[in-house]
Amino acid sequence: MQKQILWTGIFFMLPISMILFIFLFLPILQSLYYSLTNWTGVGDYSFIGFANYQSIFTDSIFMDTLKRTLFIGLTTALFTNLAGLFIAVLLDQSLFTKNILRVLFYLPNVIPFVVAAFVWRYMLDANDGLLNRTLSMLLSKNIHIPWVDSPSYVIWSIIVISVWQMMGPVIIVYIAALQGVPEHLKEAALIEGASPVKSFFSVTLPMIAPGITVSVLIGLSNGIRIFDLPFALTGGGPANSSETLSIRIYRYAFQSSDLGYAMSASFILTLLVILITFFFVAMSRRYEVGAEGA
Amino acid sequence: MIIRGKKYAVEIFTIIFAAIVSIPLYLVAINSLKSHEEIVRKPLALPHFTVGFSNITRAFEKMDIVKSYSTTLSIVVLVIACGVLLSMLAAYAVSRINQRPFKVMYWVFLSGILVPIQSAMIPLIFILKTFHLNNTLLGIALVYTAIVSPFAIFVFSGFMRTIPRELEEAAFMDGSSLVNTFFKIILPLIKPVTATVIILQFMYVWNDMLLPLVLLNSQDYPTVSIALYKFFGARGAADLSLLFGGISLALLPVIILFLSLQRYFVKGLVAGAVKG
Repeated sequence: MQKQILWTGIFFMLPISMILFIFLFLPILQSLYYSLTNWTGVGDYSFIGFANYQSIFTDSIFMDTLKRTLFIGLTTALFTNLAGLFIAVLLDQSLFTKNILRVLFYLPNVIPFVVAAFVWRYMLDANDGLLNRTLSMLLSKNIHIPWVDSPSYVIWSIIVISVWQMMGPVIIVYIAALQGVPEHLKEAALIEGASPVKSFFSVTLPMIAPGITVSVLIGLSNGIRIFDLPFALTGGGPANSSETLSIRIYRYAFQSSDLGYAMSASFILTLLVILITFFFVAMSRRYEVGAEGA
Repeated sequence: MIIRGKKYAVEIFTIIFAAIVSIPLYLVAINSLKSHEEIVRKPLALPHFTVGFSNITRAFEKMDIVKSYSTTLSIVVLVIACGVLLSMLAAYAVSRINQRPFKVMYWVFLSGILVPIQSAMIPLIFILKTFHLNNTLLGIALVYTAIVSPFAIFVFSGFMRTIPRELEEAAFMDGSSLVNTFFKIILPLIKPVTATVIILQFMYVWNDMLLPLVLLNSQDYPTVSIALYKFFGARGAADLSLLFGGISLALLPVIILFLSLQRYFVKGLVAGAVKG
């Protein structure tokens, strides 16, 4: 009987394990392996150690892209969480329109990236975009800020659009976390004379800490992988100024046929995602242990 | 009295906030029913219905949207058929069998969530070629299945752990097999989470641009996202009414699906992801 259950269990896991191995784990391991060779996609190749990494880390275009990607990831995660927590607190106030508002805040996450990129490109157009028209009207002078077409603004436009798109799931995580905070704790703090703001920071915030870890992690790992939005919005331009690591990999591989660089950049991206995750998991473990000890 | 006034203020503030967040969608909704001149002159005004649905029908014809819809839907159906059932089975095994190999496999599945697929792209092309699956719908669907399953397994097993074991143990006593127990007892209980997983997988495939860009020839298999990107990326948005028509075609199916299932969706997401 026990043996039969064991075999059925293995049989249950087998199909998806094979798909995952062939189409996810195998190619990622091959990326790592090929990044240490001079493979060009065809013919023989030899092992060249870390030569690809040595040259990619001295490549200024790549280094700029790496820094930019980290900046986009960190800023997006930060603002997504601030906005998400703020909105979740608002929605937690038993509003009449709570359900419909929750749907409205979630909807941007449902939209295809191309659609988001096109609509925002239209709204942020330098000449007759909605934003510049509104600003011109409010300040009663002509404003033509190139939100998408200038290297200094485009990063912030991408961050704003990503926050707008990624807020939905984060809000849901925070609403669930807020609902887990026992009512009597908040009341006790208020009775003892703490202001609602103080009670939020000293009672609610520590209780929802696990939710914060999860959402910051989601925000960071999505922010660092970002491809579709900048690709459809600007194609990485103007002059590489909105290029992310994922777009860089795509370009190395399919535009400049530089597979060695593409593989090294791929591995660096994977490593970044893994390091960030482990950092957060370790931090949350530590926090939980600390809380138990206290 | 003051407390009630404060509550209304919060409500109005939140509604205004939601309205600002909804501007892009509002623009799509109204401007897909307006002529180019109307959009340029008054982008935020409600439509006069002078053009009716002609923007959408024009975009429908010009973008060859039937082909795009059928391409994307075929991929979605293959992914959901494969991904949902296989993830459920695997999740059942790892959440119910308390043996070391199964616990290890749980973490192996989970680690799949971390893999950024853009890093696996180039070897993936060669792997698909080896299996003669390059530039095929089945090929890309298998890759999508590999991408979305780890999270599905995480959500399913998280939810299954909250189901009391007594039900199954009674069934085992009666001599029911693992397969039988799964289909008779577990499957009906996990319906709400299944709805969530289906919506998430649908949205991922419908919205994704990277995989079709790299793995499919856009002439043979134009997905909706790629069709929209290619159509307006090249010529820019000279005709805004056509642009908004095209956008609403890419948007409608996924919005309709989400709105009709959103009740289950939010519940399932909370139950699966947060408790799990």
